[in-house]
Amino acid sequence: MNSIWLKQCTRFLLLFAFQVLVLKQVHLNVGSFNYISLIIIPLWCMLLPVNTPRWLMVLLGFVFGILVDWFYDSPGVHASAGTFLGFARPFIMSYMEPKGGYNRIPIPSKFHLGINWFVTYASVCLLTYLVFYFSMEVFTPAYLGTIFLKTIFSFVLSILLMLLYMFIFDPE
Amino acid sequence: MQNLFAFFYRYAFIFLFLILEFISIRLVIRSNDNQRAIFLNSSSIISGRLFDKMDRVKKYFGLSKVNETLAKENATLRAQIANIQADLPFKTDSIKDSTFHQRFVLLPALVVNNSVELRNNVMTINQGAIHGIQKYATVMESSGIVGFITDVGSRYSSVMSILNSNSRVSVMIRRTHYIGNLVWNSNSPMLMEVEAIPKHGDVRVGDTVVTSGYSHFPEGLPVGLVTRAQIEPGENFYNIETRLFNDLARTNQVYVIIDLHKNEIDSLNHQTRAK
Repeated sequence: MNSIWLKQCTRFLLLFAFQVLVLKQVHLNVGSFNYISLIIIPLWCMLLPVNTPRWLMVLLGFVFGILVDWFYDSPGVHASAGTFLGFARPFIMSYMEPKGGYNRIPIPSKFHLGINWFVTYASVCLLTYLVFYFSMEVFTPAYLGTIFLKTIFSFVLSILLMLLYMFIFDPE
Repeated sequence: MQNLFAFFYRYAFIFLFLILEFISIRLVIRSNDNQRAIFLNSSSIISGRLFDKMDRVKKYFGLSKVNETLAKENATLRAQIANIQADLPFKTDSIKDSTFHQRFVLLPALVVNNSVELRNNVMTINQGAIHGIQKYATVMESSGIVGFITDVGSRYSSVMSILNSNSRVSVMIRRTHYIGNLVWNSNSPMLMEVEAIPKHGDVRVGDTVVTSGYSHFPEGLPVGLVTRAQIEPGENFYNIETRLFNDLARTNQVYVIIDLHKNEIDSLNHQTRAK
Protein backbone atom coordinates (compact mmCIF):
# COMPACT_ATOMS: atom_id res chain seq x y z
CA MET A 1 0.00 0.00 0.00
CA ASN A 2 2.70 2.45 1.03
CA SER A 3 5.13 1.55 -1.69
CA ILE A 4 2.54 2.14 -4.39
CA TRP A 5 1.76 5.62 -3.05
CA LEU A 6 5.46 6.34 -2.74
CA LYS A 7 5.73 5.60 -6.46
CA GLN A 8 2.81 7.98 -7.13
CA CYS A 9 4.60 10.75 -5.22
CA THR A 10 7.85 10.22 -7.14
CA ARG A 11 6.00 10.22 -10.44
CA PHE A 12 4.16 13.38 -9.41
CA LEU A 13 7.40 15.23 -8.59
CA LEU A 14 8.96 14.14 -11.87
CA LEU A 15 5.99 15.08 -14.07
CA PHE A 16 5.31 18.29 -12.17
CA ALA A 17 8.92 19.50 -12.45
CA PHE A 18 8.95 18.61 -16.14
CA GLN A 19 5.66 20.45 -16.70
CA VAL A 20 6.41 23.73 -14.92
CA LEU A 21 10.16 23.99 -15.45
CA VAL A 22 10.53 22.68 -18.99
CA LEU A 23 7.22 22.56 -20.86
CA LYS A 24 6.06 25.95 -19.58
CA GLN A 25 9.16 27.55 -21.11
CA VAL A 26 8.50 26.05 -24.55
CA HIS A 27 6.67 28.54 -26.78
CA LEU A 28 5.70 26.76 -29.98
CA ASN A 29 4.15 29.72 -31.72
CA VAL A 30 5.06 30.64 -35.27
CA GLY A 31 3.80 34.11 -36.17
CA SER A 32 0.04 34.12 -35.72
CA PHE A 33 -0.12 30.35 -35.21
CA ASN A 34 -0.43 30.10 -31.47
CA TYR A 35 -2.44 27.03 -30.63
CA ILE A 36 -0.01 24.68 -28.90
CA SER A 37 0.40 24.15 -25.17
CA LEU A 38 2.32 21.06 -24.12
CA ILE A 39 0.57 19.42 -21.18
CA ILE A 40 1.75 16.17 -19.60
CA ILE A 41 0.65 16.50 -15.96
CA PRO A 42 -2.81 14.82 -16.43
CA LEU A 43 -0.86 11.60 -17.06
CA TRP A 44 -0.26 11.46 -13.33
CA CYS A 45 -3.99 11.55 -12.66
CA MET A 46 -4.56 8.84 -15.30
CA LEU A 47 -2.00 6.52 -13.69
CA LEU A 48 -3.38 6.71 -10.14
CA PRO A 49 -4.16 3.25 -8.66
CA VAL A 50 -7.32 1.56 -9.90
CA ASN A 51 -8.79 1.21 -6.42
CA THR A 52 -8.42 4.90 -5.47
CA PRO A 53 -11.72 6.03 -3.87
CA ARG A 54 -13.71 8.41 -6.05
CA TRP A 55 -13.63 11.28 -3.56
CA LEU A 56 -9.82 11.00 -3.37
CA MET A 57 -9.57 11.09 -7.17
CA VAL A 58 -11.54 14.35 -7.23
CA LEU A 59 -9.46 15.85 -4.41
CA LEU A 60 -6.13 14.84 -5.98
CA GLY A 61 -7.28 16.24 -9.33
CA PHE A 62 -7.94 19.57 -7.64
CA VAL A 63 -4.62 19.52 -5.77
CA PHE A 64 -2.40 18.85 -8.78
CA GLY A 65 -4.34 21.44 -10.78
CA ILE A 66 -3.92 24.18 -8.21
CA LEU A 67 -0.19 23.42 -7.90
CA VAL A 68 0.25 23.76 -11.66
CA ASP A 69 -1.84 26.97 -11.61
CA TRP A 70 0.52 28.38 -9.03
CA PHE A 71 3.34 28.26 -11.57
CA TYR A 72 1.18 29.12 -14.60
CA ASP A 73 -0.29 32.33 -13.10
CA SER A 74 -3.75 31.10 -14.04
CA PRO A 75 -5.65 30.61 -10.77
CA GLY A 76 -8.36 27.96 -11.09
CA VAL A 77 -7.90 27.03 -14.74
CA HIS A 78 -5.87 23.85 -14.31
CA ALA A 79 -7.60 23.18 -10.98
CA SER A 80 -11.05 23.05 -12.55
CA ALA A 81 -9.85 20.82 -15.39
CA GLY A 82 -8.03 18.53 -12.93
CA THR A 83 -11.09 18.25 -10.70
CA PHE A 84 -13.19 17.38 -13.70
CA LEU A 85 -10.73 14.72 -14.88
CA GLY A 86 -10.63 13.24 -11.37
CA PHE A 87 -14.42 13.13 -11.39
CA ALA A 88 -14.65 11.66 -14.89
CA ARG A 89 -11.90 9.03 -14.66
CA PRO A 90 -13.95 6.34 -12.83
CA PHE A 91 -16.68 6.66 -15.48
CA ILE A 92 -14.15 6.43 -18.33
CA MET A 93 -12.55 3.41 -16.69
CA SER A 94 -15.79 1.56 -16.09
CA TYR A 95 -16.83 2.26 -19.68
CA MET A 96 -13.54 0.86 -20.98
CA GLU A 97 -13.35 -2.10 -18.60
CA PRO A 98 -11.43 -5.02 -20.20
CA LYS A 99 -12.91 -8.54 -20.30
CA GLY A 100 -11.25 -9.78 -17.10
CA GLY A 101 -12.11 -6.61 -15.20
CA TYR A 102 -9.46 -4.72 -13.26
CA ASN A 103 -8.67 -7.62 -10.92
CA ARG A 104 -5.08 -7.67 -9.71
CA ILE A 105 -4.19 -4.66 -11.83
CA PRO A 106 -2.66 -1.97 -9.61
CA ILE A 107 -2.58 0.93 -12.10
CA PRO A 108 -4.11 1.35 -15.59
CA SER A 109 -0.84 1.44 -17.54
CA LYS A 110 0.53 0.13 -20.82
CA PHE A 111 2.45 -2.58 -18.92
CA HIS A 112 -0.74 -4.22 -17.64
CA LEU A 113 -3.33 -3.53 -20.30
CA GLY A 114 -1.42 -3.23 -23.56
CA ILE A 115 -0.61 -0.36 -25.84
CA ASN A 116 -3.94 -0.26 -27.73
CA TRP A 117 -6.01 -0.04 -24.59
CA PHE A 118 -3.74 2.58 -23.10
CA VAL A 119 -3.73 4.85 -26.15
CA THR A 120 -7.53 4.90 -26.23
CA TYR A 121 -7.72 5.49 -22.49
CA ALA A 122 -5.11 8.27 -22.49
CA SER A 123 -6.74 9.97 -25.50
CA VAL A 124 -10.17 10.08 -23.88
CA CYS A 125 -8.73 11.37 -20.60
CA LEU A 126 -6.51 13.96 -22.26
CA LEU A 127 -9.31 15.23 -24.51
CA THR A 128 -11.58 15.58 -21.48
CA TYR A 129 -8.87 17.53 -19.72
CA LEU A 130 -7.92 19.78 -22.64
CA VAL A 131 -11.48 20.69 -23.65
CA PHE A 132 -12.25 21.67 -20.07
CA TYR A 133 -8.94 23.45 -19.66
CA PHE A 134 -9.19 25.62 -22.77
CA SER A 135 -12.88 26.39 -22.16
CA MET A 136 -11.98 27.61 -18.69
CA GLU A 137 -9.04 29.59 -19.99
CA VAL A 138 -10.96 31.42 -22.68
CA PHE A 139 -14.11 31.51 -20.53
CA THR A 140 -16.45 32.79 -23.23
CA PRO A 141 -18.36 30.48 -25.57
CA ALA A 142 -17.74 33.06 -28.31
CA TYR A 143 -14.33 31.56 -29.04
CA LEU A 144 -15.42 28.01 -29.82
CA GLY A 145 -13.15 27.87 -32.85
CA THR A 146 -10.12 28.83 -30.78
CA ILE A 147 -10.98 26.24 -28.13
CA PHE A 148 -11.32 23.58 -30.81
CA LEU A 149 -8.04 24.39 -32.58
CA LYS A 150 -6.09 24.70 -29.34
CA THR A 151 -7.45 21.36 -28.17
CA ILE A 152 -6.62 19.54 -31.39
CA PHE A 153 -3.06 20.84 -31.80
CA SER A 154 -2.15 20.56 -28.12
CA PHE A 155 -3.66 17.08 -28.01
CA VAL A 156 -1.48 15.68 -30.80
CA LEU A 157 1.81 16.80 -29.27
CA SER A 158 0.84 16.11 -25.65
CA ILE A 159 -0.28 12.55 -26.35
CA LEU A 160 3.04 11.88 -28.10
CA LEU A 161 4.87 13.17 -25.03
CA MET A 162 2.79 10.92 -22.79
CA LEU A 163 3.48 7.84 -24.92
CA LEU A 164 7.17 8.71 -24.90
CA TYR A 165 7.00 8.76 -21.11
CA MET A 166 5.23 5.39 -21.08
CA PHE A 167 7.87 3.83 -23.32
CA ILE A 168 10.77 5.23 -21.31
CA PHE A 169 9.53 4.41 -17.81
CA ASP A 170 6.85 1.78 -18.48
CA PRO A 171 5.33 2.07 -14.95
CA GLU A 172 4.03 -1.14 -13.46
CA MET B 1 -29.86 6.95 9.94
CA GLN B 2 -27.33 4.40 8.80
CA ASN B 3 -28.82 4.55 5.35
CA LEU B 4 -28.38 8.31 5.34
CA PHE B 5 -24.67 8.00 6.16
CA ALA B 6 -24.28 5.29 3.57
CA PHE B 7 -25.97 7.57 1.05
CA PHE B 8 -23.63 10.46 1.86
CA TYR B 9 -20.59 8.22 1.75
CA ARG B 10 -21.60 6.81 -1.58
CA TYR B 11 -22.21 10.18 -3.22
CA ALA B 12 -19.60 12.16 -1.29
CA PHE B 13 -17.45 12.39 -4.42
CA ILE B 14 -20.18 14.23 -6.30
CA PHE B 15 -20.52 16.85 -3.58
CA LEU B 16 -16.76 17.16 -3.32
CA PHE B 17 -16.56 17.55 -7.10
CA LEU B 18 -19.18 20.31 -7.10
CA ILE B 19 -17.53 22.17 -4.22
CA LEU B 20 -14.02 22.04 -5.70
CA GLU B 21 -15.28 22.96 -9.16
CA PHE B 22 -17.10 25.93 -7.64
CA ILE B 23 -13.91 27.07 -5.91
CA SER B 24 -11.89 26.76 -9.13
CA ILE B 25 -14.39 28.70 -11.19
CA ARG B 26 -14.52 31.40 -8.51
CA LEU B 27 -10.73 31.66 -8.83
CA VAL B 28 -10.94 31.92 -12.61
CA ILE B 29 -13.56 34.68 -12.45
CA ARG B 30 -11.66 36.60 -9.81
CA SER B 31 -8.49 36.46 -11.84
CA ASN B 32 -10.39 37.72 -14.89
CA ASP B 33 -11.29 40.75 -12.82
CA ASN B 34 -7.59 41.03 -12.21
CA GLN B 35 -8.02 40.42 -8.49
CA ARG B 36 -5.62 37.53 -8.41
CA ALA B 37 -5.29 35.65 -5.19
CA ILE B 38 -2.03 36.60 -3.56
CA PHE B 39 -0.88 33.07 -2.83
CA LEU B 40 -1.06 32.21 -6.51
CA ASN B 41 1.04 35.15 -7.55
CA SER B 42 4.25 34.38 -9.35
CA SER B 43 6.00 37.26 -7.69
CA SER B 44 5.74 35.26 -4.49
CA ILE B 45 9.14 34.35 -3.25
CA ILE B 46 9.43 30.63 -4.06
CA SER B 47 8.32 30.54 -7.66
CA GLY B 48 9.99 33.88 -8.35
CA ARG B 49 13.36 32.53 -7.26
CA LEU B 50 12.89 29.29 -9.15
CA PHE B 51 12.08 31.12 -12.36
CA ASP B 52 15.06 33.40 -11.73
CA LYS B 53 17.36 30.35 -11.58
CA MET B 54 15.78 28.87 -14.71
CA ASP B 55 16.21 32.21 -16.45
CA ARG B 56 19.93 32.30 -15.71
CA VAL B 57 20.29 29.03 -17.61
CA LYS B 58 18.06 30.18 -20.44
CA LYS B 59 19.84 33.50 -20.85
CA TYR B 60 22.98 31.81 -22.18
CA PHE B 61 21.12 30.63 -25.22
CA GLY B 62 19.81 34.09 -26.04
CA LEU B 63 23.06 35.99 -25.54
CA SER B 64 23.85 36.60 -29.18
CA LYS B 65 20.33 37.91 -29.83
CA VAL B 66 20.54 40.21 -26.78
CA ASN B 67 23.98 41.46 -27.83
CA GLU B 68 22.62 42.27 -31.24
CA THR B 69 19.70 44.35 -29.93
CA LEU B 70 21.92 46.12 -27.38
CA ALA B 71 24.46 46.94 -30.05
CA LYS B 72 21.70 48.35 -32.25
CA GLU B 73 20.40 50.43 -29.35
CA ASN B 74 23.92 51.67 -28.61
CA ALA B 75 24.28 52.72 -32.19
CA THR B 76 21.01 54.66 -32.10
CA LEU B 77 21.96 56.37 -28.84
CA ARG B 78 25.44 57.24 -30.12
CA ALA B 79 23.89 58.71 -33.22
CA GLN B 80 21.62 60.83 -31.03
CA ILE B 81 24.56 62.05 -28.92
CA ALA B 82 26.43 62.94 -32.07
CA ASN B 83 23.40 64.84 -33.35
CA ILE B 84 22.97 66.70 -30.07
CA GLN B 85 26.65 67.62 -29.94
CA ALA B 86 26.46 68.83 -33.49
CA ASP B 87 23.42 70.98 -32.71
CA LEU B 88 24.44 72.35 -29.31
CA PRO B 89 26.71 75.27 -30.20
CA PHE B 90 23.88 76.90 -32.12
CA LYS B 91 21.04 76.30 -29.73
CA THR B 92 22.55 76.74 -26.26
CA ASP B 93 21.15 80.26 -26.00
CA SER B 94 17.58 79.38 -26.66
CA ILE B 95 17.31 76.34 -24.35
CA LYS B 96 15.21 77.17 -21.32
CA ASP B 97 15.80 75.58 -17.95
CA SER B 98 12.38 73.94 -17.91
CA THR B 99 13.39 71.83 -20.91
CA PHE B 100 15.66 69.87 -18.65
CA HIS B 101 13.00 69.24 -16.06
CA GLN B 102 12.97 65.47 -15.78
CA ARG B 103 9.67 63.64 -16.10
CA PHE B 104 10.57 59.97 -16.65
CA VAL B 105 13.04 57.68 -14.90
CA LEU B 106 13.95 54.38 -16.60
CA LEU B 107 14.99 51.38 -14.51
CA PRO B 108 16.44 48.35 -16.32
CA ALA B 109 15.02 44.94 -15.40
CA LEU B 110 15.16 41.35 -16.63
CA VAL B 111 12.09 39.22 -17.36
CA VAL B 112 12.28 36.03 -15.31
CA ASN B 113 8.90 34.56 -16.21
CA ASN B 114 6.82 35.19 -19.27
CA SER B 115 4.02 33.70 -21.35
CA VAL B 116 2.31 34.62 -24.60
CA GLU B 117 0.04 31.65 -25.23
CA LEU B 118 -2.60 32.30 -22.54
CA ARG B 119 -5.58 34.66 -22.82
CA ASN B 120 -4.33 36.77 -19.91
CA ASN B 121 -0.57 36.87 -19.99
CA VAL B 122 1.47 38.01 -17.01
CA MET B 123 5.23 38.46 -16.66
CA THR B 124 7.54 38.61 -13.67
CA ILE B 125 10.56 40.92 -13.59
CA ASN B 126 13.49 40.79 -11.20
CA GLN B 127 13.06 44.30 -9.80
CA GLY B 128 10.80 45.18 -6.89
CA ALA B 129 9.98 47.79 -4.28
CA ILE B 130 13.55 47.95 -2.96
CA HIS B 131 14.72 48.93 -6.43
CA GLY B 132 12.11 51.68 -6.66
CA ILE B 133 9.42 50.01 -8.75
CA GLN B 134 5.94 51.46 -8.23
CA LYS B 135 2.52 50.04 -8.93
CA TYR B 136 1.05 51.04 -12.34
CA ALA B 137 4.46 52.06 -13.68
CA THR B 138 4.74 51.23 -17.37
CA VAL B 139 7.22 48.80 -18.95
CA MET B 140 8.91 49.07 -22.35
CA GLU B 141 11.75 47.40 -24.20
CA SER B 142 14.09 48.83 -26.79
CA SER B 143 11.81 48.02 -29.71
CA GLY B 144 8.31 48.49 -28.26
CA ILE B 145 6.01 48.53 -25.26
CA VAL B 146 5.52 45.59 -22.90
CA GLY B 147 2.87 46.32 -20.26
CA PHE B 148 2.45 47.82 -16.83
CA ILE B 149 3.24 46.84 -13.26
CA THR B 150 0.31 45.31 -11.36
CA ASP B 151 1.92 43.95 -8.19
CA VAL B 152 5.15 44.90 -6.50
CA GLY B 153 7.00 42.48 -4.26
CA SER B 154 10.18 43.38 -2.43
CA ARG B 155 12.49 41.89 -5.09
CA TYR B 156 10.17 40.94 -7.94
CA SER B 157 7.18 42.55 -9.63
CA SER B 158 4.34 41.28 -11.79
CA VAL B 159 3.76 42.92 -15.15
CA MET B 160 0.42 42.74 -16.93
CA SER B 161 1.54 42.14 -20.49
CA ILE B 162 -0.20 44.09 -23.27
CA LEU B 163 -1.17 40.59 -24.44
CA ASN B 164 -3.86 40.48 -21.75
CA SER B 165 -7.60 40.84 -22.23
CA ASN B 166 -7.67 43.46 -19.44
CA SER B 167 -4.94 45.65 -20.92
CA ARG B 168 -5.80 49.03 -22.52
CA VAL B 169 -3.08 51.34 -23.78
CA SER B 170 -3.77 54.73 -25.33
CA VAL B 171 -2.02 54.98 -28.70
CA MET B 172 -2.12 57.27 -31.71
CA ILE B 173 -1.45 57.12 -35.43
CA ARG B 174 1.80 59.04 -35.84
CA ARG B 175 0.90 60.61 -39.20
CA THR B 176 -2.52 61.97 -38.24
CA HIS B 177 -2.38 62.13 -34.42
CA TYR B 178 -5.73 60.37 -33.98
CA ILE B 179 -6.00 58.68 -30.58
CA GLY B 180 -7.23 55.10 -30.03
CA ASN B 181 -7.00 52.19 -27.63
CA LEU B 182 -4.61 49.29 -28.11
CA VAL B 183 -6.30 45.99 -27.11
CA TRP B 184 -5.52 42.31 -27.63
CA ASN B 185 -8.38 40.27 -29.09
CA SER B 186 -6.45 38.12 -31.51
CA ASN B 187 -4.77 34.87 -30.69
CA SER B 188 -1.40 35.85 -32.08
CA PRO B 189 1.27 37.45 -29.88
CA MET B 190 2.33 39.64 -32.80
CA LEU B 191 -1.05 41.16 -33.75
CA MET B 192 -3.10 43.66 -31.73
CA GLU B 193 -6.07 45.89 -32.48
CA VAL B 194 -6.57 49.63 -32.24
CA GLU B 195 -10.09 50.63 -31.25
CA ALA B 196 -12.03 53.88 -31.25
CA ILE B 197 -10.41 55.74 -34.14
CA PRO B 198 -13.30 57.54 -35.89
CA LYS B 199 -14.30 57.03 -39.52
CA HIS B 200 -12.83 60.35 -40.69
CA GLY B 201 -9.43 59.45 -39.18
CA ASP B 202 -7.94 58.44 -42.55
CA VAL B 203 -5.89 55.44 -41.39
CA ARG B 204 -3.88 53.65 -44.06
CA VAL B 205 -2.05 50.36 -44.15
CA GLY B 206 1.60 50.99 -43.26
CA ASP B 207 0.94 53.84 -40.80
CA THR B 208 3.02 53.77 -37.64
CA VAL B 209 1.24 53.37 -34.29
CA VAL B 210 2.97 55.12 -31.37
CA THR B 211 2.00 55.74 -27.74
CA SER B 212 -0.10 58.85 -27.17
CA GLY B 213 1.33 59.83 -23.81
CA TYR B 214 -2.04 59.45 -22.08
CA SER B 215 -1.40 56.17 -20.24
CA HIS B 216 1.85 57.04 -18.44
CA PHE B 217 3.91 55.83 -21.37
CA PRO B 218 6.05 58.67 -22.72
CA GLU B 219 4.59 60.08 -25.93
CA GLY B 220 5.82 58.70 -29.22
CA LEU B 221 7.19 55.27 -28.26
CA PRO B 222 6.91 53.01 -31.34
CA VAL B 223 4.27 50.28 -31.01
CA GLY B 224 3.63 48.72 -34.41
CA LEU B 225 2.62 49.08 -38.04
CA VAL B 226 -0.97 49.12 -39.31
CA THR B 227 -1.52 45.94 -41.33
CA ARG B 228 -5.27 46.26 -41.88
CA ALA B 229 -7.60 49.24 -41.63
CA GLN B 230 -11.22 48.96 -42.67
CA ILE B 231 -14.64 50.27 -41.73
CA GLU B 232 -17.39 47.69 -41.40
CA PRO B 233 -20.65 48.81 -43.07
CA GLY B 234 -22.72 50.84 -40.60
CA GLU B 235 -19.84 51.36 -38.17
CA ASN B 236 -18.47 54.74 -37.14
CA PHE B 237 -15.05 53.55 -36.09
CA TYR B 238 -12.13 51.93 -37.85
CA ASN B 239 -11.32 48.26 -37.42
CA ILE B 240 -7.53 48.40 -37.27
CA GLU B 241 -5.05 45.55 -36.92
CA THR B 242 -1.45 46.36 -36.03
CA ARG B 243 1.69 44.24 -36.11
CA LEU B 244 3.92 44.89 -33.10
CA PHE B 245 7.56 45.91 -33.57
CA ASN B 246 8.66 43.78 -30.64
CA ASP B 247 8.24 40.03 -30.18
CA LEU B 248 6.88 39.57 -26.67
CA ALA B 249 7.68 35.87 -26.78
CA ARG B 250 11.37 36.81 -26.74
CA THR B 251 11.32 39.78 -24.36
CA ASN B 252 14.19 39.65 -21.90
CA GLN B 253 15.70 43.07 -21.20
CA VAL B 254 13.01 45.62 -20.31
CA TYR B 255 12.88 49.13 -18.83
CA VAL B 256 10.40 50.19 -16.18
CA ILE B 257 9.30 53.78 -16.72
CA ILE B 258 8.60 55.70 -13.53
CA ASP B 259 6.51 58.78 -14.30
CA LEU B 260 7.50 61.52 -11.85
CA HIS B 261 4.38 63.53 -12.75
CA LYS B 262 2.04 60.60 -12.16
CA ASN B 263 0.73 61.75 -8.79
CA GLU B 264 -0.04 65.23 -10.08
CA ILE B 265 -1.85 63.93 -13.17
CA ASP B 266 -3.78 61.33 -11.20
CA SER B 267 -4.93 63.77 -8.54
CA LEU B 268 -6.09 66.24 -11.21
CA ASN B 269 -8.03 63.48 -12.97
CA HIS B 270 -9.47 62.44 -9.65
CA GLN B 271 -10.60 65.95 -8.78
CA THR B 272 -12.22 66.43 -12.16
CA ARG B 273 -14.05 63.14 -11.87
CA ALA B 274 -15.25 64.04 -8.37
CA LYS B 275 -16.97 67.19 -9.70
